[in-house]
Amino acid sequence: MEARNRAFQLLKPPCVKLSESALKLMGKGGNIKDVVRNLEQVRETLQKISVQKDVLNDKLADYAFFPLSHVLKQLEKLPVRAQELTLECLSILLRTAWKHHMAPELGIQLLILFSFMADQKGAKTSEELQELILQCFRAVFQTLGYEQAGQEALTNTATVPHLGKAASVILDGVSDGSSDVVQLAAIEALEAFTKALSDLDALATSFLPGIMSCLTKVLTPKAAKRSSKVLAASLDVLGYLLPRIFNDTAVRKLPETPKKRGSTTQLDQTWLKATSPQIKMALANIIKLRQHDRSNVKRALAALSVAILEQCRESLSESTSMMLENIVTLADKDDRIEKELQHLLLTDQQYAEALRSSLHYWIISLPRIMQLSDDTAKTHRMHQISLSFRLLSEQGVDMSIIETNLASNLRDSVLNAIHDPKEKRTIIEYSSEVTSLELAHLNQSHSIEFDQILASKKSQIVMVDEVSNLVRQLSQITNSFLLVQDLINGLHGSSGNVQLASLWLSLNLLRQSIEHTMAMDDILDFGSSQANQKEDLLEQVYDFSVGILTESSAVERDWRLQAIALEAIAFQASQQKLDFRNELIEALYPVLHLLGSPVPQLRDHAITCLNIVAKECGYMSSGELVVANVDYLVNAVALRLNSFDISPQAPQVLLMMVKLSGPSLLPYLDDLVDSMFAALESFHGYPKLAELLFSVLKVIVEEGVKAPLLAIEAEGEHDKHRKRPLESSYMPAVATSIADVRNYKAKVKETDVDIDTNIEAFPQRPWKEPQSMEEEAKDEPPPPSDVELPPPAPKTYSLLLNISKLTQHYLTSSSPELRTSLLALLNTTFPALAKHENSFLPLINTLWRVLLSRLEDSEAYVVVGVLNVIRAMCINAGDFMSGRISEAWPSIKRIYRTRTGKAGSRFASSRSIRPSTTKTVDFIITQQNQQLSQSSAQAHYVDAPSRIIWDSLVQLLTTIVSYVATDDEAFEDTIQMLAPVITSRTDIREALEGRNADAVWLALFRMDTSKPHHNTNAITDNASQQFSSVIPASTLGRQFALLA
Amino acid sequence: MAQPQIQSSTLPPAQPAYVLRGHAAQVHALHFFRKNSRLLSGDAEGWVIMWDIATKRAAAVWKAHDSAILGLGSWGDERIISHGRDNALKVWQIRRDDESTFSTGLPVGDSVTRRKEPWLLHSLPVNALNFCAFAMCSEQEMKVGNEKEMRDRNETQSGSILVAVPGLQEGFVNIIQLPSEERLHTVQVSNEEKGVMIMALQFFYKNEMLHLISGLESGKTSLQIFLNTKWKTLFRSATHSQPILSLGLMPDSSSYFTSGADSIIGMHVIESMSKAKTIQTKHSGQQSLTVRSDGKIFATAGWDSRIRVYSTNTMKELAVLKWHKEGCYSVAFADIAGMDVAESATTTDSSCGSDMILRTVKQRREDKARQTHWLAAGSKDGKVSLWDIY
Repeated sequence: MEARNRAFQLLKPPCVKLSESALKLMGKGGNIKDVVRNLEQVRETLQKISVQKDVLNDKLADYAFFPLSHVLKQLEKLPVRAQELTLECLSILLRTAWKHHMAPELGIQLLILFSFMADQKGAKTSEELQELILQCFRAVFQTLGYEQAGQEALTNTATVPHLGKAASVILDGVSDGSSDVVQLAAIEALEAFTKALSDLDALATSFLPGIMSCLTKVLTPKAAKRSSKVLAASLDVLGYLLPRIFNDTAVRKLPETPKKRGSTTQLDQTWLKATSPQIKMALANIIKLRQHDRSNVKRALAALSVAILEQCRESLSESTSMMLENIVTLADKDDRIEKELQHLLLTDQQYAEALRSSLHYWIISLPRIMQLSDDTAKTHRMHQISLSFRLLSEQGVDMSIIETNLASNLRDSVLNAIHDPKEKRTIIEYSSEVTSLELAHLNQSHSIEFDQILASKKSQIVMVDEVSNLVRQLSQITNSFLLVQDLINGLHGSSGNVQLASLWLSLNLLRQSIEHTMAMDDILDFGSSQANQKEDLLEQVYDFSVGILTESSAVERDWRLQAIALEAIAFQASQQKLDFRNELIEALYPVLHLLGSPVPQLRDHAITCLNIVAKECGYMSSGELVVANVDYLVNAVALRLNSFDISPQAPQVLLMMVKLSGPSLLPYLDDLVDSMFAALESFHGYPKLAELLFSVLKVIVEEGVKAPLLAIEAEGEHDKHRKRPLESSYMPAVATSIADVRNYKAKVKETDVDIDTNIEAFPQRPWKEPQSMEEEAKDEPPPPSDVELPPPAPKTYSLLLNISKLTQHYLTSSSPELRTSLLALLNTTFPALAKHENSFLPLINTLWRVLLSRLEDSEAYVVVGVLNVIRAMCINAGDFMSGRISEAWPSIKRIYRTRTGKAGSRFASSRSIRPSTTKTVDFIITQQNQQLSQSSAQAHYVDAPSRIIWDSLVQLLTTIVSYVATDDEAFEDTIQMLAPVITSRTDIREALEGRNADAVWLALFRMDTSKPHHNTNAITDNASQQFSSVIPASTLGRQFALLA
Repeated sequence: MAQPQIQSSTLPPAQPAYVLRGHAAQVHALHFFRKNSRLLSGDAEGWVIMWDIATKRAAAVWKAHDSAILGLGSWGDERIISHGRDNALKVWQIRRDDESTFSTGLPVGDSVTRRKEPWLLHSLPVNALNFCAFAMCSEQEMKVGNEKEMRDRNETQSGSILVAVPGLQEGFVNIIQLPSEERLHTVQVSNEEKGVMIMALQFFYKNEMLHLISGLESGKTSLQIFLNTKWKTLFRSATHSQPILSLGLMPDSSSYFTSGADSIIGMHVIESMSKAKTIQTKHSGQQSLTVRSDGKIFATAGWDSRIRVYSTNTMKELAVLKWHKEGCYSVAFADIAGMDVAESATTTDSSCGSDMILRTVKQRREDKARQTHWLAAGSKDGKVSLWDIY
C-alpha cells in the first residue's frame, strides 16, 4: 500500500501535466513539444514504477491511462515520437497492471487503435513504432486470452471485423516487416493472437488460410535472407497452431456433415478433407527449409514435424510420411533431433512401420537416384537410408521385407554411382620402364592403406564414401550375412561393373561387419557360429579374388576389379595373420604380377597389398616376403612361362625375384630359363618381348657371376693370358746383352712399381727365363687335361653358358637395344665362364662368326659392344683368339678408317700428367703434341659415336697387344692406329712397349719427324740423344737399321 | 598367338599344379605317406627329401645313401624305408614332433653339407647291383578277414613287415622280415641260364598266400606263391622283348601291369593265368608304372619325358602329361582309397574336437592337400611335378 501511494505520488504530477498539455492541444492552443515532453516524463515514471513488482495495479493504470487517452484521441496530430512514447506507456501498462486483467472493451478498442496506427504509412510511421504496435498487439492478445471474458469478447461477432483487421495487420508485419525486429515482433503477436483466440472454428475457418499462406510465404526456402530467428519463430507458431486445430482428438469429434447448412464457420469432416491437402502442400513447401544451415531453424522444423506426427497423425495423415522423411533428414546431423525421433519411434510402433515402408521405398529408388546428376539428392538419400536403418535396427524392427531387395538394390546403386558414361577405354601401353619402377617402389613404399579406386571423379568419390557409410550401417545388422551371400552368389554369374560392384560391396560389408564384431567380441562371446559364417563368406570372397587374379592375362579384366580383389587378399591376410603364409602359394604371385601392371593405381594397390601381407604374415618387409617365398614364385613364374603366357609381368617378377634373392636362387631357375628360351624361340618376332626376356637373362647372369664358385678371384688368375713383355730375342747375336736387358727391365720395373700404381694391373709374377721363339708363338696353351673336369657350380654355370650360347641367335635382331644388351650380357658372363675352358672356348667359337658380322653394325654403340666383347674374349681366352683376331683384322682396320672420325687426334690433346719412365722423351713429345693439338682441336669436332668407337677400339687394341699373340703386320697397324695416344696414355704405351719397344720408339720418332716443326732438328737430336741413353744399344741398332 | 604345338584336343595342355624343385640329381623314387600329407622323393645321389604337400616345401632333407636311391617306402606313419645302390636297405624313424628339427636346405642349393639324419632303426646289407627296388608287404599273422580289412589293419598298425630284395645270386630273391631282420626265404624266380637279372618286384598276400611277382631282364615275369612251406612257380609269361622296368599291382591283387624298356604295357590277370593283354604304346622306355589305390587308372613315367595315364579297365591312354624336359624316372599316386569325405571328416574330428567348423585355415589347407588326387612325377632334371588330375 505504502508503495502504491508513493507510486501514485510519483505518477500524479506528470499525468496531470500530460493531461493539461493534451487538453490544450485539443483546444488548439497546445504545444506539441509540451505533450511530447510530458509523455516522456510519464513513461519514465511508469518505467520506474513498473520495476517494482505488483505496484502498478488497475487503479494506478486507469489513472495513468486517462491522460494517455487524451493523447490517443488526437494521435494523428502528434509526431511519431509522441506515438512511440504513448505506445511505450501503454505497453508498460499492458505488461504490468493489465497483464492478467483488463476490461475486454478497452482491449478491443486498443486493438482497433493499434490496427489503425499500424496502417499509417510514410512519415507517420517508423520501424520502432511498428515494433511497438506489434508488441502491444501481443500484450493485448495475451491479456485478453488470459481471461474468459476477454476470450469471449474476442469471439464476439461484433469484434470479428476488427479482429480480422488486426490479424491482417499482424500478418503484414510478418511478411513485409521492414526489419527482423519488426517481423519477430509480428510473429510473436501472431502467436499471441492464435493462442488468445479460443474459438477454434473461427480460427480454423477465418484465419487459418491467411496465416498459412502468409507463413508459407515467409518460410519458402527462397527466404534465405530472412533471419533464422524469424524462421524459427514462424515455425514455432505453426508448431503450435497446426496441432491446435488439427489434433486428432479434436478432429475425431468433428461431425460428419455440417450441422447447419450454409454455415461457413462450422468445422466438419468435409472441411478437413478439403483443408488437409492444402496443409500438406504448405508443409511440403516449408520442409524445404531443412536445407537451411542454421540449427535453430532445423530444430524448429523438427519440432513442427514431431508435433504434427505426434498430434495430427490421423487428421493430417497425408503429410505424416513426408514429415517423417523430413525428420529423418533433419536428424542426420543433429543428435537432439535424432533423440526426438528415437523417442517418437519408441512411443508408437506405427511410426516404425511407417518409417520402414519409407525405407523400403528409398532403397528401391536408390539405384534410380544414383543415376541422377544431383549429388545432394544422392547424399541425402544415402543419409536417410543409413539413419533409418540404424534407428530401425536399434528398435529391433523386423527388417526382413527390406533385406530381400537390399542386395540387388545396393549393388545397382554402387553400379550407378561409379558409372561414368564419358569414360573411355584407352589402350594401355606397356612401358618398359615399369620394370625399374617397381623395384624402386617395392623398397620405398610402406603404405598399408588402399587408395580409393572405385571412382575417379570427385563427386563419385563422395558418393562412394556415402555408400561406404551406408555399408557400415548395414554391416551391423545381424543378418548381413544373407546379404553378402546374395552378393557372392551373384559374383560368378555377373560381369563388368555389376561384378565389380558386387565384389566391392561384399568385401566392404564383410570388412565392416568383422571389424564391428571384433570390437564386440572383446566384451561378449556370441559363440562361434556367426564368426564361422563370416569366415566362410570371406573365404568365398577370397577364393573368388584369387581366381580373378590368377586368371590368364589374356582375359581382359577391369583393373578396378583386380584392385578390389587385391584388397580382399590383404583383408584375408589381416584376418589370418601368420596362417596366411600357407596361402602365399597361390596368392603371392598374382599380387607381384600386378606390380608390373600398366595401370599406376593398380600398381600402387599391389604394392600396398604386398606391404599389408608382409606385415600380417610377420615379415619385416615386402622384400623379405618375396625372398622367403621365392620358391612359390619360381613355381608360379615357371608355370606362366611354360604355358606361353607372354604378358610381360612374369619375366618382370622373375627379374625382381632374382635381384632380391641373389645367386642362391639360380640353381632353381634352370627350367625357367629353358622356358624363356622356348618363349624367345616362339616369339622372336616381338623385339620388345625378346628385349624384356633378355633383360631378365641379363640380371640372372649378373647375379650368376656372383655365385661363390664363379666369382672373379685373384687378379693373377684373371690375367693368366696376359703377355709378358716381349724380350728382344730377334738377334741371337746380341744374346749376351739379354742379361743387361733383364737387369735394366728389372730396374725399370722397380721404379714402375712405385710410380705406376694406378696403371692397369701389371704382371705380378716373377719374370721367367725367356723361352724359345717357338714356344712363345704358341704361348702356353691350356694344360691338356685327360679328365674332363666338371665346371664349378654346375647348375649355375650351365645356366650362364646356355644363356650366352643363346645370344648368337639374337645378335642379328632388328632392335639395337637388344643387340647392345646381349653384348653387355656376354661381357658379364665371360669372366665367369672362362673358369671352365673346355666349355668356354667352344662358346667363343660359336659366337665368333656372329660377332664379327656385327662389327659392321650401323649403330655405333653396337659396334662398341662388339669391340668390348672381343676384348673380353681376348682377356679370357688369350692366344686362342690369335687366329680370330687376324681374321677380324681387316674389319678392325676398316672401323678405324671409317668409324672413328679421326677421334684419335683429339686424344692427343689430353696429355697424361702421369710420370713415365721415359720422362724426358715424354716431355718433349708432349710439348710438341700440345702445340699440334692446339691447332687441331679447334680444327674439327668429333661426334659422339666416333668418339665411343675410338675409345673402345683403343682399349681393344691395347688388350690384343697385351693378351693375344698377333703377327707383326698387325702390330705395326696397331702402333699406327694407336700412335696419337701412345704418348698420352702410359698404359697403352706400356702394353705396346711390352710387345716391341723399338717399334714404339720408331713410331714416335716418325710421327715426330713427319710433323713440320720450326725446331725439328734440334728436338730430334735431343730426342735421339735421350733415347740412346735410355734404350739399350741393341734395340737402338735395330731401329736404325729399320730406318735405313 | 599360335600355340607352338598343335593340340588335337580342345582342352589346353594340362599344367602341373606345382613343381617341387630341390634335387640336384635325377629323381628315382617317390612315395606318398602319412595320409598323403608328405611326399618322399629320392634322387641319384642318395638324397631323400620329405615334402610337406600342404606347403609344398621340404620338411626334412637328408642324405640317406651314398649312392642312388632305388626305392622308398613307409612302414606306418613314422618309419621310412629307403633302398640305395650302396647295398643298403635302411629304415628310418621320423616322428611327427621331430620334424621341425631336420634340415630343410635342399640339395640343389648345397649338396655337400651333411644334414641331420633321422634315427636309423635298421640298416640291412642287401644286394643292389642292378636297379631293382625292394618290395614290401605287411606280414599276415592272422589268416582271417577279407582283403580290405587286412589292408586297413596293415596300414594302421605297423606290425612286422616282409621285404623282398633281389639276392646276391642272379634269379634269386631274398625275403627278410622286419623288425627281426631275419631272412625268411630265398626264392629262385627263374631257372633260365641268361637274362635272369631281377628288374622289378611285387610282393603281396592273396588268399592268405604270399605271392611274389618278379620282372626279369629278359622281359619275362614270373609269379611265385608260397604254398605249404615251399615256393611254387605259378606261371611265367614273356610279354616284353626288353627288360621289365616296373611292375604295378592292382590294389585288389587281381592283376598286375608291366612296363619295360620297350614300348609295351602288359596286363596279367593272376587268377586266370591266361595270356597277358598287351598294348603297344610306341613310346619305349617306360621307367615306372604305378596303379592308383582305387584301381581305376595307372600311370607310367617315360624316358620321353612324358607321364601317361591309362585306364586299368580298357588300357586306353587317358592323358599325356608333358612338363619335364628330360626323361621321367618315377611316378606315384596319392592314396585316394581311404580318403573319402566321410573318413577325412572323422580324422578331422579326432584331431580337432567335435566342432568341425573350428578348423583353422592351416588344417583346411592340409585337408585339401590330402584329399587332392595327386599324381607325382620325378624326372631326370631333379624336379618333381605334382599334378592334380582325375
